[in-house]
Amino acid sequence: MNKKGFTLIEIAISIGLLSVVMIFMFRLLINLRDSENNISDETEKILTKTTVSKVLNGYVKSGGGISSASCTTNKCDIVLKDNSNMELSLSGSILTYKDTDSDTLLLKKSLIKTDTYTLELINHNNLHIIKIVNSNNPEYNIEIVNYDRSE
Amino acid sequence: MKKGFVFIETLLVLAILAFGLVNLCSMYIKISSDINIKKYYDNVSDLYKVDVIRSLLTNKNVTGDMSSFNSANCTTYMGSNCTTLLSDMSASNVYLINDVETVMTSQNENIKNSMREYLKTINEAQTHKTIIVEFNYNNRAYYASLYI
Repeated sequence: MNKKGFTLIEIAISIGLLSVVMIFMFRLLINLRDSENNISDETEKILTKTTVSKVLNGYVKSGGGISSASCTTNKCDIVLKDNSNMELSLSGSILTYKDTDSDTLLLKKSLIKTDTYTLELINHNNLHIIKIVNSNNPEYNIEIVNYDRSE
Repeated sequence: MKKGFVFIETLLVLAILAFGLVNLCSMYIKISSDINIKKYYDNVSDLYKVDVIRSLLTNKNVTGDMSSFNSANCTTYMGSNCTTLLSDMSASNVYLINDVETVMTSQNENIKNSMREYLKTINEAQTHKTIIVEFNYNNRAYYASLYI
């Protein structure tokens, strides 16, 4: 007797096994897509934090450091060692840094829109730390660090 | 006369497919966990803090492979206001290291696992005296380092 083709049972079992694997594969693909979106968002947030931190710390360092600073929850007035007056301000999640003497906007960046930000100042023993605090996700806090070595 | 041979072929294909998918999944999990870990290493603000601490070191000598101090015993290595300075910066420990690779492979129980994981990300190709600062905020340990 020539046996060509599959038996019905073989086909049924193959289709069953294939279905199970396909279900797991689709679930995996959906999870991978969600993970990919989460990783993209996470990377974007980390990049924003790194960029803003680098730029602000760079500006302060190029101005010779902080001479004095005073902050409210959404605005910091900073005087640098080269006598330039700077303003760091928060409007919602929009952060701006400008030279108030020449009214030049040096940085305008949109932080995480869904989060709440405030400004804090640590100021003693020649150490100035200006913190841009993310109340929802503190791991995305940004800090400007300056130590006055002149004394 | 072939009986059941094609069934075994199908099972083999499914097994190979499943094996490939599991490998892919585990690679992706590793990548996403690595991204999470890198969040806690060498943040820009922390690097500026390490730079401040490095500039205030009065004693850069390393005893053995590694010396360490914290805000409670920092006056040997820094000035008299170091306690407040390190507290303000949330710096929980400062390590001075001669050779990263030696410390990484050391059996010293005082070296935390999180520190060893961070040391793996530092370039071991050259021997540099290094200052590593462990920061503690947001209920996590953050690390940053610079050469001395």
